[in-house]
Amino acid sequence: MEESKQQAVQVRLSNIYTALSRRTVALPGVMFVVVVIGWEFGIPALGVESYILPTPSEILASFVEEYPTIIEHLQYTLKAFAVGFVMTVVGGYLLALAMAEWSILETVLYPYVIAARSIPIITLLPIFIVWLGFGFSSIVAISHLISFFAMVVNSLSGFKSTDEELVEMVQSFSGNRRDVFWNVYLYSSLPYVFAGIKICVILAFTGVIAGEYLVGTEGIGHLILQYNNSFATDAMFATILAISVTQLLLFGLVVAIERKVVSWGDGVAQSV
Amino acid sequence: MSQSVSVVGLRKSYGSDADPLAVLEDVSFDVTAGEFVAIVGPSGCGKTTLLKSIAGIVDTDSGEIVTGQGPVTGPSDEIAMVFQDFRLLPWKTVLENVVMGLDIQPDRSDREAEGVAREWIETVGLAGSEQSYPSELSGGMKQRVGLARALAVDPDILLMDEPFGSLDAQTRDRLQTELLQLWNSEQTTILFVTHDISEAIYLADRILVISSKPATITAEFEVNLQRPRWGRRVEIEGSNEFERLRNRLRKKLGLTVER
Ligand SMILES: Nc1ncnc2c1ncn2[C@@H]1O[C@H](COP(=O)(O)OP(=O)(O)OP(=O)(O)O)[C@@H](O)[C@H]1O
Ligand SMILES: [Mg+2]
Repeated sequence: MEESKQQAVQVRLSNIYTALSRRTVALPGVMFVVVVIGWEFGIPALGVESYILPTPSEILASFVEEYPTIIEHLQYTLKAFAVGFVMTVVGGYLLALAMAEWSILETVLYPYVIAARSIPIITLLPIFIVWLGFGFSSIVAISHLISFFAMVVNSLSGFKSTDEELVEMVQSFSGNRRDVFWNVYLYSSLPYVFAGIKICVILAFTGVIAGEYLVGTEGIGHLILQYNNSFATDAMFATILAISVTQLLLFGLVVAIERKVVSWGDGVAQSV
Repeated sequence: MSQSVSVVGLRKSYGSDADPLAVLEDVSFDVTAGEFVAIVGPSGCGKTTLLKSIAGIVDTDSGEIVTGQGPVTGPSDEIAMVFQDFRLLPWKTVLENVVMGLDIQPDRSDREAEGVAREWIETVGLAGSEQSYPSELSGGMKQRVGLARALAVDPDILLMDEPFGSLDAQTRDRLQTELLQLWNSEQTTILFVTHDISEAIYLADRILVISSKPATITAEFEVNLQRPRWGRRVEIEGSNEFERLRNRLRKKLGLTVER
């Protein structure tokens, strides 16, 4: 029993070892190590002061010291992100579905969706402040709107790219619109929908932080500004590190869900 | 169960009103209940359009299609179609693909549907592949799924659009024979589109020849070959009746007649 467990661990370790020794993993890894070492020893050697650019070890030390504060603010940020992001994904998907189902809606709305996607939503922030006040609601609004139109456009391309021959096939079995949706559109759009979700994770998260820079009294964007004001550059970098890692994890989570959901035989979705 | 089909004065054109492309021009024929009728014609002449019209999935310009249940105005549960290009849902397993047609029909529990689907998958020789996805199947297997999916809904009329056209000769031979056996036990009415003359003769009671651009029925041949035909294919294909029919069909289709 114990022995087989040990064997399993060994197999796992050797799998990880093989994965790491692959060129596509090993080369970027080497690059990372080189950059970090160069940064750690090269930057001070050039006489760059720590408050301009702290070394990796200083950033790490600062993170260890500040992490309760960082985590606290990060939680606040994630809450705003979650609300804005879910509103985007659900709302964007449903609007795209409605536009695919009733072409009149598409005709009327599509030019505005495209136009709205091109507006730098962030410039609307002062208006949201007037309407929604200095706080959570304005930040959620920015996060939602900055990502919403990308979600609509991507989902709609998903529905539009559906193979009409499959729709016809379902209809030949007396399938109505609901049957067609549940058997065809729901799946055929998934690769595009996930491409949209992946874009929206980044946009919605960035939106929250941008909002917090401007109106936040809490949250990680606000925290960066606080550190900035007190010249705690190392803590600022530690916070940026935390943001980067969080965003990578969120993105990775979406990719993992996509792999699980969009997999039919070798027809695994090929999307960005 | 089976039902008759009559097509009367069917017309259909694609394209705009200003620039119409006439595809079907006054197509009329009758199929009696339980009959196996093959339709042969040149590529692009409108055979698929004709079957889709009968299946109720394309709008026709004029004319009437009447089955034993009355006029066809849209898709119905009594008619099922097997497509030229299989049309399986790539995101569903073999089992789910066959269940799909059953699920759409009302008054059937999921469990019942799955049971029926499993039986048909076995009947078409795909037992063991229930959980495979279409991308993992060969062409022949895909068309077996298409066949199981259509037969599972227990249609009175089965429309088959060049179902074996894209398969290799061996698989095609085997599936033709299996189809004859299925038809013998199920007694459905079958309309079978093909441009393979030998296939039409081996399978059908009657062969309709359809012309091109626009399509009308130009000839009709009775196939007087004794049934059941499976198990004596070589004998049938060497018979005088087969040879005679083949030559007449080739002539009608504008192909050279071999001596
Ligand atoms: N949806 C459509 N819109 C416009 N034209 C169409 C459409 N479907 C078919 N056609 C045209 O109608 C004609 C008949 O097509 P159809 O698919 O019915 O022919 P077919 O006899 O089944 O051909 P094949 O033997 O190649 O399968 C063709 O000229 C085709 O280009
Ligand atoms: Mg065709």
